[in-house]
Amino acid sequence: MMWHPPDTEQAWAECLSAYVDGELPPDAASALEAFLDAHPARARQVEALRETSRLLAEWQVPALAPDAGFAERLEAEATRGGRLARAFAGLRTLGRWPRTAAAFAAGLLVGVFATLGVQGGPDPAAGHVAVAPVPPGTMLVSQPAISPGQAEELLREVTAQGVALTLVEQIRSRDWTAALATYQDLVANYADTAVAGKLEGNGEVRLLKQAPPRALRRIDE
Amino acid sequence: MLSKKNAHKLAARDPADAIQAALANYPDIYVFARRMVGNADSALDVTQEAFLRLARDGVATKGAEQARRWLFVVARNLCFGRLRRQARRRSAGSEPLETLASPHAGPAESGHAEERRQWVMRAVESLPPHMREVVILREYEGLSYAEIAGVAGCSEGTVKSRLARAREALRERLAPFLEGYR
Repeated sequence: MMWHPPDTEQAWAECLSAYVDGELPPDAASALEAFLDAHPARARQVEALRETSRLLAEWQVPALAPDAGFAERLEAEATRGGRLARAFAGLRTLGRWPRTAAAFAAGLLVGVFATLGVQGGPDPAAGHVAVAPVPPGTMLVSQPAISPGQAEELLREVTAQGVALTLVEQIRSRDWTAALATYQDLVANYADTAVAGKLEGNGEVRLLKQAPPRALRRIDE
Repeated sequence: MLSKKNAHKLAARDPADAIQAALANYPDIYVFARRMVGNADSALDVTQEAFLRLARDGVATKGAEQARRWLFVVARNLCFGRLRRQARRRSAGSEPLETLASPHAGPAESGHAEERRQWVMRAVESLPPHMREVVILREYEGLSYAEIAGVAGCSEGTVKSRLARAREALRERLAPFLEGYR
């Protein structure tokens, strides 16, 4: 492939940055090197990039090893996680509407719990509601079962699960345009949720990110 | 997706071995998170949460490379969540982000290594998160553009463009030290 000098400053910046990182194809890199020999101003730009990299290397952060008990904690989580993964796999075998209904019901349940907790309702951990006479003049103070922050996190997780299920369904039905839009919504709004992290490891989601919908449709055909 | 193809891997690998292998990535994930979120406690939380999620997600079903990439993706997403919350809190308060992370808030001139380090740190931290992550993943973690694209959830072209713009911004912010180098 013939290499042509970029025609804008932004394109030059990208080209030289990629060159410094060794990300240009070998023939383009050779052509650029020949160009740099004849154009000292561009060669100085390359040197400035390398100098910036050397300076950045001065910010070193001490590494940290895991605590002694952390591996055991992970093993315990892995055992629990295996059971959850199997349950999640079972959920995927359901049809579209039962899964949507399940996600909605879970969301509603968490929402109700969160609202009750935030407003100081009965503690679900107690298993019953104690009814006792209250002396006159006593100020009732109840501990929230769940903090507003925890409630928000839970609701976000459940909402993200619903979005993720929609995404899985769209991928399964090869509706790539809708799937890409759903994926972008998930990344933009729920990137820090567990389900978003889980989807990043999925081969079809990776394919979706790498190829635009038109290319994916061509693969399907 | 837990397909039949993946199911045999679940049975084939011992979770304890898989966890030990994955823990080799712990220092890298911590250092990445530390540079992304800017403080040690948050970085430790992010690192531990990423590993806990890996364990829950079926660590034994992932190969070593896949687990490493997965950890970076999850740590990155957790860091972005924290940065968003920090930004919300700051916008609710009175302290603008720029005053916390601008290199211009530091000393005007210094030849000391520690002060240079502080400037570099503040310059990187003052970049918008999407630029910061590509700089950190490239300059400090040594990931290729394709690997960065996989972690950041964008195309290689976007990585190239963000990196070029981020380096331009860094060169401007670090100009006094770059001149001092010559």
